[in-house]
Amino acid sequence: MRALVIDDSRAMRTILGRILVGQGFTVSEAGNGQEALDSLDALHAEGDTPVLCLVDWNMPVMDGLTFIKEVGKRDEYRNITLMMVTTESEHGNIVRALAAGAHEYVIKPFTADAIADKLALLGLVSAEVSA
Amino acid sequence: MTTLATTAFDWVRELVYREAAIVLEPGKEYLVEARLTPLARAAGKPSVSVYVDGLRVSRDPREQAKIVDALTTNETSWFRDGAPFRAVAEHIVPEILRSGRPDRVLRIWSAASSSGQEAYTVAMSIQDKVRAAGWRFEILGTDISEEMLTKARAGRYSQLEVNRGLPAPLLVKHFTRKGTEWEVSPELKANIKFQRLNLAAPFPVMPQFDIVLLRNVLIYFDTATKRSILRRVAGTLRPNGCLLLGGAETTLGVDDSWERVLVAGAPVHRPATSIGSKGA
Amino acid sequence: MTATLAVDDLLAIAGDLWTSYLGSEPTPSVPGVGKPAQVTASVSIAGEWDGVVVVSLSAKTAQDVGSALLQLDAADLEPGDVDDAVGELVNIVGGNVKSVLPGPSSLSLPVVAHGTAHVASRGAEIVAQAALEWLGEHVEITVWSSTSTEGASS
Repeated sequence: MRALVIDDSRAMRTILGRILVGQGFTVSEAGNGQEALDSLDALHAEGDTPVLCLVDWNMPVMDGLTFIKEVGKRDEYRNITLMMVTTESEHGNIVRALAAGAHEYVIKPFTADAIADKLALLGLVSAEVSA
Repeated sequence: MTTLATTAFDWVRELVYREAAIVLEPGKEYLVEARLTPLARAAGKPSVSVYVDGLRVSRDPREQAKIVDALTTNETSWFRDGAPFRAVAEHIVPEILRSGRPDRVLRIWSAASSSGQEAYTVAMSIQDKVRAAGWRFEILGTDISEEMLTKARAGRYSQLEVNRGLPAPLLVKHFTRKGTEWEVSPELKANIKFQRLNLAAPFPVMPQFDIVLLRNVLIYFDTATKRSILRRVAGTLRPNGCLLLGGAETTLGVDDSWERVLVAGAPVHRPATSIGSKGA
Repeated sequence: MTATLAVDDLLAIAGDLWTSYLGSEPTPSVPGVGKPAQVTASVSIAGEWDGVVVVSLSAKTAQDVGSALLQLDAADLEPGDVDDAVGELVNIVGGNVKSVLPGPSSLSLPVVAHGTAHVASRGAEIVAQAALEWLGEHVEITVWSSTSTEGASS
């Protein structure tokens, strides 16, 4: 399973990438929304379309909200699960992101368990049996 | 590499058994050390052993209550263990709503409600269905810890807590921001009551419940106490009511008056006499 | 707009941030007792509320933040890694601070400066300031509000 981590911070991409690899994903990275769209197209052309994108909100060139709207216009990407992972944490902004097409939303700071829980809720990984 | 003195561990074991009937087996020193370290630090003591030694002399009841709290609280997180909530919302509750029962009130007991996430999770997952059917619901959350009850009643959770296993659409539907925290809507709180209850002691007068959630709490008790709790819980269930235990828990070998069926992948227990003609 | 931001809010935000990514919790300290900061990271908030959120720290702490976030030894950090990590730190603090203040407002991308930087502009005032001690070093989080007559400058 391919995942694309989109964040302008290399440190944050590293943290998220490690968590996803631990959950069994193969991870690609992009530093902003435009790079991410280019990356999606390249992966799609290779028949390796990601099943999941983790998307930061505030990024240079193209922000995460715009990226999510762009993905929503593209039929070939309708099966991608879009999860915002951002420090934007007002109630209204979460509503905006969900309305734009995000499926899930994780607020920074997060723990690795928080990402794993959301992936399980989305049915992308199987839930742990632990108490 | 535990540094907890045996005398301190034994004293804590006896305290927790006496106050909450919870058995801490030898080998659980690490748990005592981990859970009591913040209390020791808050009391300005250099170690858990020194903190406990001080209490063995002073017998400060407030500190003793804090120890019982610290060792009886279990972590809960919304829909993280999703199967029981799906079973309740998609199967058990719709079946009851279809029954056409005249009272039209659904009663649910979250029997070790901790900081309230389980009770609120059930409420979030059934509210729309129950209302659409013209019914209402009442949820009772009980816990032994006053600190947890206070937190559950406030319904306020940190950002890290709402990040754990709570779907974003439900977060925005049922919570509002209060400073750095998130608070459950008054609408959801209106159907939920939290009160103190010690599962190991006789129960007060209780209504008859359709569903009892008793998840990941029996593991703390010895077999005789487990059996006693299960018998008394059976007494609070309506005919054909459901008991949901934690994923790794069973009534088998403890109290054989229950039948276990799988509902949407979640084990559901019903008093054996109430099982109808249909099996699992 | 009047800000309603308490020092405890800053400490709560920092506590969550440090436990999530930095491996150990900081202890609250007193602002102004540390040496002059060597690294200053800031983000600005603009909209219903205008101001700047600043995290100031020593060069050693900045490097520790880089090592912890990237899980690399200090010697293995690439050029730009420390600024990237400290920038992400102030981005997270800034976003959480913004959510407590009157909105809607938007958050700028982070700016990281080395040397003793003067972030405050004329007419700005401190709304809340928290100090932390982490791994024996002093860290300060300061939230400045701009007065409405001062234009936002970057």
